[in-house]
Amino acid sequence: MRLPPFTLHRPRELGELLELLARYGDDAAVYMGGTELLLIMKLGFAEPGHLVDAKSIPELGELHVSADRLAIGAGVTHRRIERHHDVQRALPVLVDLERRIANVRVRNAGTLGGNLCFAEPHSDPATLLTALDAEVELAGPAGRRRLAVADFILGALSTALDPGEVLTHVHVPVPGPDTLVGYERIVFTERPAATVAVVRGPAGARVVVGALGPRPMRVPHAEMRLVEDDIDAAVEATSSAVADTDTEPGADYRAHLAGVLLRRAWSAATANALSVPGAAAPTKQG
Amino acid sequence: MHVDLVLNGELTAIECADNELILDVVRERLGLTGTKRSCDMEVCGSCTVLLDGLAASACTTLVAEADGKELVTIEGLSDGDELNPVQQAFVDHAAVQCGFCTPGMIMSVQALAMDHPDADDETISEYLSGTICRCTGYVKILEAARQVISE
Amino acid sequence: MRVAGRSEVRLDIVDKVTGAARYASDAVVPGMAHAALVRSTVGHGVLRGVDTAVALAAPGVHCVVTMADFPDVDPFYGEWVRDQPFLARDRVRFIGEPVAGVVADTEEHAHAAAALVVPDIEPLPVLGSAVESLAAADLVIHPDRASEDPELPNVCYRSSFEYGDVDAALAEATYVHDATYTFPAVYHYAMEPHAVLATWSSDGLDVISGTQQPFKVRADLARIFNVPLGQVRVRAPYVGGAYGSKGQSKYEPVTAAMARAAGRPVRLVISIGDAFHTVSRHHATIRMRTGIGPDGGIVGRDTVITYDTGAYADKGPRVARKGAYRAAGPYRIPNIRSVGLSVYSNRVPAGAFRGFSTPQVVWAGESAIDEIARHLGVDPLGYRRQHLKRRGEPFLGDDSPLDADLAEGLGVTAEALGWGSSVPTGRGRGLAVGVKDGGGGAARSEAEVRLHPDGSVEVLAATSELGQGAKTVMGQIAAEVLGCQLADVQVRLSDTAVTPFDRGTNASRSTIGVGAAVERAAEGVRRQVCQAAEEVLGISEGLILDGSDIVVGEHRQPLMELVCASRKLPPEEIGAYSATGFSGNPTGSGPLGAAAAFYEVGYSAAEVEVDPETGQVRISRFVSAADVGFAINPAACEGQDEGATVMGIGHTLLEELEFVDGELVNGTLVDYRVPRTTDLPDDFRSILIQNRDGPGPFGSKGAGEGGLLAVAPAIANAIADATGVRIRELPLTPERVWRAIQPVEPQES
Repeated sequence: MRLPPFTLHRPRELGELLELLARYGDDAAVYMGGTELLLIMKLGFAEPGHLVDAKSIPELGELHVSADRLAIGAGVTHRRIERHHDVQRALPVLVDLERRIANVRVRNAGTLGGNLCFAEPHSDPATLLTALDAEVELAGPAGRRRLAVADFILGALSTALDPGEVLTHVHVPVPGPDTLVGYERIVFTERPAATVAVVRGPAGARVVVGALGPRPMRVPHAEMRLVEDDIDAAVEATSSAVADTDTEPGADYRAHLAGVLLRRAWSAATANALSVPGAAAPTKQG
Repeated sequence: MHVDLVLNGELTAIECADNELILDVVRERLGLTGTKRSCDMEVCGSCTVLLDGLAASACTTLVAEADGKELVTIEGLSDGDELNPVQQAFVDHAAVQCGFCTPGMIMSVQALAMDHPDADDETISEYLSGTICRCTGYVKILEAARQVISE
Repeated sequence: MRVAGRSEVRLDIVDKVTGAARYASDAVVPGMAHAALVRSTVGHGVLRGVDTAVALAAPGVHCVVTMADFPDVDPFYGEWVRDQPFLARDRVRFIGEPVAGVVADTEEHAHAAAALVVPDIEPLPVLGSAVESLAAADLVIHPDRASEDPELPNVCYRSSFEYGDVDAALAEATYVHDATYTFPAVYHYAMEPHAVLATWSSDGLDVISGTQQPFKVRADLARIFNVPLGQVRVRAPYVGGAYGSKGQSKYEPVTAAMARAAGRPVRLVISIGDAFHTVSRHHATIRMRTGIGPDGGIVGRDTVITYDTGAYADKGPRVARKGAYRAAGPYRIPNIRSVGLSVYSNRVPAGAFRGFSTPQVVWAGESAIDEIARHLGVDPLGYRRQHLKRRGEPFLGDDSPLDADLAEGLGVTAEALGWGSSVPTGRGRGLAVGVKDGGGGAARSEAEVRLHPDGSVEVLAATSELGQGAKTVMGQIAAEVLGCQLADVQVRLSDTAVTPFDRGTNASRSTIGVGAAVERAAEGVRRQVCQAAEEVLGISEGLILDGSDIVVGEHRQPLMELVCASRKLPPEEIGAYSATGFSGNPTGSGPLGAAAAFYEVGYSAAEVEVDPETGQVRISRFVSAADVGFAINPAACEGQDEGATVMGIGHTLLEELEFVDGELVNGTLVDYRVPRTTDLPDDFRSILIQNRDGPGPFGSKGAGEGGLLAVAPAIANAIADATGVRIRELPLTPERVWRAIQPVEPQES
């Protein structure tokens, strides 16, 4: 399979990139790792006349880890996150997730930002980052803005990026020691069949189910039950939420799986917490 | 566009269109047919090459990405008649049947050895789970990989 | 033995680890153009015409062909039933069927132009499966072919075997086990997709193809294009996996047709997506009724197998016939009736796939035996061992006597798994045995061996090197017989103009067929050398070749001198010693028309753990044993057995081609998962059983399919042992297993 013809642009600065996007409009696509973009182009699902390579813009290649947040430039590959010691210390669950994405070749080339922009419904990071209340930073003709990942991914292969806008950074809050974070996935073919992320901290809880709908789905009922430390009820609420939205054959199994994954993510989260001195311990385990 | 790279140890200049992929150019323009096309969707690993030491799917990597970098294909691993240790391990363990996955598999094991020089069995298996072999059942490939790591 | 029986380094391995090995998809000739095919997007319809005008005007295009361009050829091929045209003629019968071909200067141009060809197809209702086809009396997929049964017009082929009185036996049985099993359509995924390079010249037609059956392809091409056999040359370089998918003609006729129309060499390399739409393993539904007598003996077995052969016969008729035969199973059962149906549908054609009809019937038979043993409350191993046929008994009717100790082999396998020892909590164990008449029936194999005066040896044998190691094994056989080193032997790859006739590389037949021919040819050469030694030196006993020398006892001299002395010619004029050998004239009659050359036997034993929450099955331990008679290259035999087992794990746990109204909906490697390293058993052992009781060189038997035959029932039997639940539908996906182990039917939501 060949790629349709296009012109490759390699801006050195963000301003230049935005100018190119403005100039070519719908005929341009931002190109990072290319692991998703080039594939859909080969398959004939997209045919942009201009690819704007954002990898050489220094700002987009930065990865900062501070006490309370990760700032991950849009050009940062899965590999760099996976092998970054500070990220490992700050948010091991993200490193663990990154390590399992696709295969080593995709992780070497693909970026976290690109993954979010592609909005593939089976994306692992989208599920976890939604649960972590992560934000994306966007730059466009109207300036910069920030959006919660939950508001950024609108549906299957659909994001809130405006015309001419580019994702520059992913900002991930680093959970404090009093917060539990867990992530589980189950894979039957190449992409995950179901994913679940759970976060439980002083401010509340997040339960997010991925791969079972067009976009990661928060489950508020399960979150409420988790706040009450009732994991059994949270599992049930998660399964019900999936059963309510999934109308395809086999929905009951997927609903059940989502519950199983939540329970496993929760036990992993609590197990991790128990192994970290001073971290929160659950009052009741499922 | 003009791309300068070090290909299998040689400084090489390539004139190519912006949309050309490494797989097409090495196979058809440069006659390096050891890199194989199978799934063509970055799943199977049969087109694996090393770009600045990192495993890459040649089927989904632009030639432009190799500009200023070092590209190694299966043809660049051995030194004359001298097999490299990964190739030798595949010979030692009879880890080859039809051979179509073999170049990509060997490049993957080469990358594994660089990425995880102390890999345990689980890491080896996880790492190679992204490269498909339909003939061998992987048993002898994993033996070969373990030999490479233990050396 | 000096060379045979040793895990010699494969003769092809250095080429393969360095990337130097050339496959058909790497082949290039000067002036070569590239082809792309236009495929039907309609599953069933009347092809009213193809508009090629726009495509013809596209950049770089040499020609665009449809079947209308070939009024002079007989475009049909297929084994036993020739029903498949190389381009659709008046109908399309599956999504993906080629309807036109484009030849252009580059692959890019060919594909771009192919997208501009517009077929005009009037859709017909789609028969999406064999079940639908059997129910449809008015809608006929091949209306121009008379069906044997007018009531069932979509039956491509029907085969039956009957021994004794099954109806009476089942009527008198104290227990009749009656169950229906299904086996999925699966895809070979040979990693190299089909590739063909065709050239016409004053020498005739020259085709380079990654084929398992160069002589069969040659015969097809000669017939289709009305060219003498001697003017068709088919070469098979290294083949990037086949497993049955590259047998008989596939894309050779259409590529030759395009090359003829274009007036230049044409290469066609299809994509994996198109390979998904080329050939598959037959989906099968097997209803099996087994009668048990008061003493627990099996008194009768009545089986009906429905193989979904898709849009065209391919090898489907032979699959149905062999499947019906093999459904009888390796047990002592006096009354047998088996019916095999090959049924058309508007799916991707189904044909040969490693095991050829057998994994389907072994899945049913070995599940059923386990169910019966459990019903009777006896140990499944003990029950099998009690009722398995003994060495020397015919498999069925007057066929060859069994050449294996099945009870013993199964015992060895079970023991290696620890059968009878306590099973870890949450796990279960199962085993199964599969038997297949090997060799594929009567066929001739020929080979030639040449010993050059410098001591180097050439073996000309038309076994395709698919990865199974044929090149090496043929070399080992020749070296062993000639008394030379393997390093001095060159084994040529298949080339119908060079290598003598062989039916094809299938049915585990190469070692016993071509290998035996090589053995005899090498014996012929050795006789000539020994005769010369007798003439010149007066002795020949124990003669061996050591590089360019012969060694007889204490005497050593260059072979060259011996030949010169014997032939009384100077060195540059002496030629070589050469001899041909053949094997495989039919012997006996047997229910299949010729007696089985040998029996390929595979034993599998599994220990599994089922995740009760997700239904995922983990294989904690697996033992496979292959009865290979004698392993000429043990590492290669092990590799075949390991590979076959893991391929079997694929159809057992992971793989299934999913069709919706005839449309394949998971035809990519993203959606269709073949086994990965992480799908291997935690602990996996492969055992070679060697009693030197086979018909091949040194007592060898064929190998390579056995490991696959019994995997599915062994795992399903282990799941039943672990959970108490019997699943009769493959693959055993997590969802299917989870549903099966639910205590009550899940509520509809």
